[in-house]
Amino acid sequence: MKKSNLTNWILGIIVGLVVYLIPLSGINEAAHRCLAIFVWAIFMWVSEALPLFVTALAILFFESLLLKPVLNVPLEKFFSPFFSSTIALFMGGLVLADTLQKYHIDEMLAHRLLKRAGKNPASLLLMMILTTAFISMWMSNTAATAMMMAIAVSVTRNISADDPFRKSMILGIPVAANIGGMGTPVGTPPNAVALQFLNKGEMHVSFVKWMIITVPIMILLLIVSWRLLLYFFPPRAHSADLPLLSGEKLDRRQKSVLTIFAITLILWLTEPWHGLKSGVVALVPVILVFGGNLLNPGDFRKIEWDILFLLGGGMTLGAAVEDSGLSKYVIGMLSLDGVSPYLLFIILTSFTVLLSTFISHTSAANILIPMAAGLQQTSAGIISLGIGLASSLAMSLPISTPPNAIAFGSGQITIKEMFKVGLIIGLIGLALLASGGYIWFKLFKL
Amino acid sequence: MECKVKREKCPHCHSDKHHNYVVFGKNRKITVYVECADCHILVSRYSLEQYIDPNAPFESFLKQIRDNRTESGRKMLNNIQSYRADLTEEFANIKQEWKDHPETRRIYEILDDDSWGY
Repeated sequence: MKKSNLTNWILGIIVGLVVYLIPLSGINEAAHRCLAIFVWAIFMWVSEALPLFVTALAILFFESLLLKPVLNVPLEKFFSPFFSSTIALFMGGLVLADTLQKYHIDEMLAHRLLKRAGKNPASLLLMMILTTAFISMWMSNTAATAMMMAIAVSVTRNISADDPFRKSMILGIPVAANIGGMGTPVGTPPNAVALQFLNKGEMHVSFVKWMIITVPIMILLLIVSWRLLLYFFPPRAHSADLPLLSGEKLDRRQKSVLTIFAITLILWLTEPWHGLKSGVVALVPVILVFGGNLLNPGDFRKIEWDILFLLGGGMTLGAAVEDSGLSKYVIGMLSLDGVSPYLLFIILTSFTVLLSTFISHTSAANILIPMAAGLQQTSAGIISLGIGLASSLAMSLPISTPPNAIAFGSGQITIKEMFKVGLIIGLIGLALLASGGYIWFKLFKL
Repeated sequence: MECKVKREKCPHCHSDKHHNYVVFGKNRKITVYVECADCHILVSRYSLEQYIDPNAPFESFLKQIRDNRTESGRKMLNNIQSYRADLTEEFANIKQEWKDHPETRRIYEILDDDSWGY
C-alpha cells in the first residue's frame, strides 16, 4: 500500500471516530453512527485511498457492525441493495455492452454512421459527436471514448498541425461521451443511483420515461457543445478525411447479438404495455448471450463487478441514511422547511458539478443523492434526477472523468483548453437544468 | 529499478538469436512462440497481456483501455501516463539493469519465486 493511501486510511478512521465522538444535540444513536459512516465514506471516496468498490463494501460492513445493533431492521435491509432491480438493470446493460464490443458491433455501427458524414469538417465533427453520444447511451462512456478517439486521432493526422480543428475533434469525443451517458438509465452509473431513488415509494420511472425526459436535454447539450467547439476551434481546412472505415457485412453471430439487443431495447421501451420492469428485462440479454454461447463464463467473470458493487454501496448508504433517521436530523438542523425546492435543486446540482469535477461521478452521486433525496421529500425525484444528470456535466479537468483523461492523454489539448470548454458546457448545462429542465421534470410529476 | 532482467537463451545451443512467431486467432489470446534462430527448437511460448507499439503508444493504449475500465479519472490519467512514458528510455534502462545484474534462472523458476507475486 502506498504511504499516502495508508495515511488517508488512518485519517479516514480518525475522521469517522471524531464525528461519532462529537456530541450533537437531538441526534439519536443510530443516526449519529450513520453520520460517522457517511463522513468516513465521503473521505474515502474523495481520497480514493481504497479502490472505490472496497469503500462500498466497507460501508456494508460498518452498517452491519455498527448500525444493526441499534436499529430494528433486518440485516437484509443493508445487503439487498447490492442486488436490487436497479443493479440487475445495470448488469444487463454491461453485459449488452460487452457483447456489442466483443463482436465489434459498436465499431461497425460507428463506421456506418460516420460514412454519412461527408468531408465538411463541421458536419464531420457533428457526426462524430452524435455517434459517440449514441454509443455512450448503451456502453460505458470510457469504452465509447476509447473506440471513437482512435477514429478521431486518425482524422487529425490528415489535418495540418496548426489547424485548431484538431482540438475540436479530440475534445468533442469526451464531451459527447459524457453528455451521451445521460440518455438512458444504463448510460452511466450515476443514472442508476438516481433511478434507485426515483423508483422509491409510489413514483416509478421506466426506461422509456427516463429517455423521454433526458434525451431532449442530451440533444440540446450536444448541439450547443458542437457550436461551442466550432467557435473556439474553427476549422481552417475545407475538408477532412475519415480513415478507411470497415464496410464488412454482419456474420451469423453478429446478427444474433443485434437481434438480442433489439429484443431487449423493444422490451425496455414498451414497459408501459407489458409491465415487465426494466430490471427484469435486463436479465433477458444476460440469459440469451450466455445461454447462446455468445459470451462464455470467462466473459461473465470479466463483467465490471466493481461498478456494480460501487452502485450497491451508494444504495445501501441511502437505506441507512433513511432508516437511521439521519436524513430527518439533517433536515431539522438545516432548517430547510422554508427553502423552496427550486432553490435547493439549483444549489445541489451546482454542488454536484463542482464535486464531480474532482472525484468519480458515481462516488459523487453516491454521496449526494441519498442525503439530498431525504432533504425534500416532496421533490426527492426531481432532486435525485438533477444530481444524476449534473454529475455528467462535470468535465472541465482531465481527472473529472476517464473520457477526459483519455482525451488529455492524446497530447493534443492542454488543460486550459479542456477547462475552458468543459466549464462553459457545464455552466450551460446547469442553466438548462435550472430553467427549462426543472419545468420539464415537473411535467412528469417527479 | 525494482525488477530483474533475463536475456533469454536457447536451452539447447545457448544461442541468444531468436525468431518470434506472433499468432492471432478468434477466441484465443495472442500468443508469441519464440524459436531459436540457430537450432530452430521452440524456446518458449508467451500469451500476450498487453501490447504497446513504441511508435504509436496512445493508439495501443486506446485498444486496450476498452477492456480495462475504471470509474476514476485520476486512475485513468495514471494509466495513460504509464503508457506515455518514453519506451526507448525505459528499454535502455532495462538493458543496463541486465548488464549490471543479469538474471540467470530459468523463467519457470522465476515464476515459482513467491517474492515476485506471480
